[in-house]
Amino acid sequence: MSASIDLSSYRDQHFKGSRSEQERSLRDSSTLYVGNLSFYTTEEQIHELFSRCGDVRIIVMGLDKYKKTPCGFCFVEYYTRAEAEAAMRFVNGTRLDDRLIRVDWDAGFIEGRQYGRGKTGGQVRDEYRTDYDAGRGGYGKLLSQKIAPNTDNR
Amino acid sequence: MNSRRRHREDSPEEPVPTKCPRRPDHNEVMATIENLMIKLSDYNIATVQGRIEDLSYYVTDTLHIYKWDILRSLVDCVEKYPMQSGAYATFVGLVNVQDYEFGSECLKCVTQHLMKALYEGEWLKAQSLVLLLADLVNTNVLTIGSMLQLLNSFVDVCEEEDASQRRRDFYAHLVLGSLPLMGRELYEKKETALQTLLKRLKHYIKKQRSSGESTRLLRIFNSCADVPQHDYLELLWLQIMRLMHDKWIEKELLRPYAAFDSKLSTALQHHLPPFQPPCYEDDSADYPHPWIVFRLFEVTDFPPHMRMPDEMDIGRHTIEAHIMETVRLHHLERKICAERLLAYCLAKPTLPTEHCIIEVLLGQMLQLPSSPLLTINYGALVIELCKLVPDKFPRIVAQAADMLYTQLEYMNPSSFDRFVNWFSHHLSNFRYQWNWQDWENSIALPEFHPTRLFVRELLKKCMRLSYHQHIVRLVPTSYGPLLPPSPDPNFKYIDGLLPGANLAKHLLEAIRSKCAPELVGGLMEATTELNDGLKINVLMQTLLHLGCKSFTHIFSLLGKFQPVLKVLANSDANQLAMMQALFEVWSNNEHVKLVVTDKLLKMHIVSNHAVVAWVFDSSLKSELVKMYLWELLNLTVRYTKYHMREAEDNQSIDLNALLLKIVQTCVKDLMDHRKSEQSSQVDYWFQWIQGRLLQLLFNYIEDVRKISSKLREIAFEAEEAKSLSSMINDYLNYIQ
Repeated sequence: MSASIDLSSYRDQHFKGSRSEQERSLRDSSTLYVGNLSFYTTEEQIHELFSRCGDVRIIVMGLDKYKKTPCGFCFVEYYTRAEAEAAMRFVNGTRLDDRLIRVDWDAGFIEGRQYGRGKTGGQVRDEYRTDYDAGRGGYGKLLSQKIAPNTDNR
Repeated sequence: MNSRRRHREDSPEEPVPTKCPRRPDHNEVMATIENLMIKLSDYNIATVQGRIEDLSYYVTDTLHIYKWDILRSLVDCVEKYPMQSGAYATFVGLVNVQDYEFGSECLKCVTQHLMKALYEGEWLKAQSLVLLLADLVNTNVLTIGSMLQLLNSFVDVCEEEDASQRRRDFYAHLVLGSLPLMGRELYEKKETALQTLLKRLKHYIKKQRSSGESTRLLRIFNSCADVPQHDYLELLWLQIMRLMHDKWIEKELLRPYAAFDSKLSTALQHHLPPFQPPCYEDDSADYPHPWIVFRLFEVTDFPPHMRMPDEMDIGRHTIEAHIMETVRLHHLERKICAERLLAYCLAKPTLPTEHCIIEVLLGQMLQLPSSPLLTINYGALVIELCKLVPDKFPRIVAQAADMLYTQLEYMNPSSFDRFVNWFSHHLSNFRYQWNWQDWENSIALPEFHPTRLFVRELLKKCMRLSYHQHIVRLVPTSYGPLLPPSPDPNFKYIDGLLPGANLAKHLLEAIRSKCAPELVGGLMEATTELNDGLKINVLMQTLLHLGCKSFTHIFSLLGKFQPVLKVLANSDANQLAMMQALFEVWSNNEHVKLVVTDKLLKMHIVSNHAVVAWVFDSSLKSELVKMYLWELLNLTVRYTKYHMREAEDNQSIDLNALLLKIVQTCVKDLMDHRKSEQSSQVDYWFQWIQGRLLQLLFNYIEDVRKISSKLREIAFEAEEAKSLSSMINDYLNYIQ
């Protein structure tokens, strides 16, 4: 039975270093990745919820690479590992802005990592998904193009 | 060396036919033993006998080699799962039938560990081992006479007149806790001795022990509340008396040994080696502090077809102890914890165990002086339970919240804050669905009445987790006066006629054109027609106005112009002016006020002492009843305690000095208020601030202890405000 603070199977492909170095960073980290946010969820809302687990050092909003607007994820860094563990235990899989959010370990924020890596500027998952999600721009980008081709999504 | 075997190892490609079964290695055996031992703790009535038998058979084969490992594993498990002592004692009993030596070694081991635990202050462990010994009487391993002797030696401590009450309480609790397990056995076989034991205990608890003083401050509700609040030892005594009245028939404990009665009674019993509890020397041992047992539900609150032991029934004690054990062990894994709690509910289908679970969780969450776990930990558990049993738990949680609401007037501020935080988070996971119209009656109450304040603070927290429009749409229109204002900033220098507006205009242009910080510094210096305070107000308001989009925007600007701000913040007055400017721009948004002040502190632009001075500034008097200012104060203390590295002066880094300053300033404000307000009406403001001061003192007991003597002086000087000085004195007595 996996513990709620275990590493997930996600590994950052752009991480500068070996797999084991990344895993070591993840095991020591006090930085969390937060995903499945609505595009409209604010830094203030994130701060309020995560402050329930400890003192938040910094929040970095995930942004669309071209539009520079929130694209549904963020990083939350605490002062201590223990506080980050509390967030993994008590916030992961609960609701923020009425959406079930995912909280996972992150190796640490580096400039550039705040941008979505999808082709059209947002997160990769929003390129390919086929469901309609009003909080994340409606249909996935590829599907949106099919429905309304040549629409400039940038 | 077997040459044939060596030959086989040289050619691993050939399959090796196994003639004899491989002997299991040490680690495998140990793992199996530990696994089976832990499994004994599962609360599953159908399988417990099988599990006990499995372990006893396995162990009988391995006993001679693994005896000490088995005993170590046993003690570890009992320490963790004291409420399952019945299962563990049955296991020992079965082995004792076959192996008299084992029984003897086991008792020796347990008493050694017990002695060590008592010496080293491992109170929970000591209690667990005493419960095991009590059940070892039930499983025919230990003579009842020996156990009585042990219990009497504990009661000897209760009669030590010079010992601290906490020491004597602990030993009384140790004895009383074992009686539900073996009271019946004592009653049947040693009734006279039992009566004598009880008489001695009664004398201590009723005549010599004073419970009022030490627990007065720990009551979640003050004495006017409609909720029973008992000192833990007094309640347990009453429950034991009721149990005695019921001929010691206890129904809620799991007693797996009953099924093995005929086999167990064939064993030979042992005596305990002589035992004496550690001597009383001085108060160096930190005995457990007393606590108040939390009650929310009465018998009439439960569904009519379910019988729940009322609060004087020992069954309630047993059920709560089991729930608390589960939470203590599994609170970090909310899914496992919820599943285990649910298993307990299913094992007791005729009882409203769900109500008990909520009562225990909320009771711990609200408890004084502080909660053992984070509020959000309890919140996450409750959410998980609501998900697992959606037709039961949500309704019970709503019932509990409503009941707490009716007692808000009597609730202490520390618990109040946790209630607000918990309930706002809980609602945010369930779309804020709530019978808001039920709480409309709070609108008509006086402004600082706790019930009215609760609704306002709750709405503010719900707004922080969502957004203003959402909350407005959620509540009935009658809620108008309770709603927070739209949390928008207000930049007054938009008005070009205001003094300072000109400077504001220049600063806006400069900063918008991405000028260097030095330019702004220069602009500030060059403006000689405005005084420092006004200049600072203009600069701060301008920065905040430019950064009003989000925290990141504000922080980025503050970061860029930190050198300028640092230079300007060269006096307490200037630092206060900065915070005042912030509070002006963001008067409608408590969250921003809190977070940005904290940021200014962490950027070393304002000092921790300046923050304290600002919080207690007379201009913020009516704000002082609100949660956010105390969140700010506690943030400042935590920052000083844990994160300050470099400081301007040694005074800042000194946590004791900071705490003392907070107490002194707060007491002064309270005394000044008392002198000016002489009305006969309820002084809510005074009650709030006094209660919040106690909350702060409770948050930092270890640190405040170091300034106890100073606090005693302050209490003496505050003699005129009786409630205040007695609160401080009660607190000082509690923390000794």
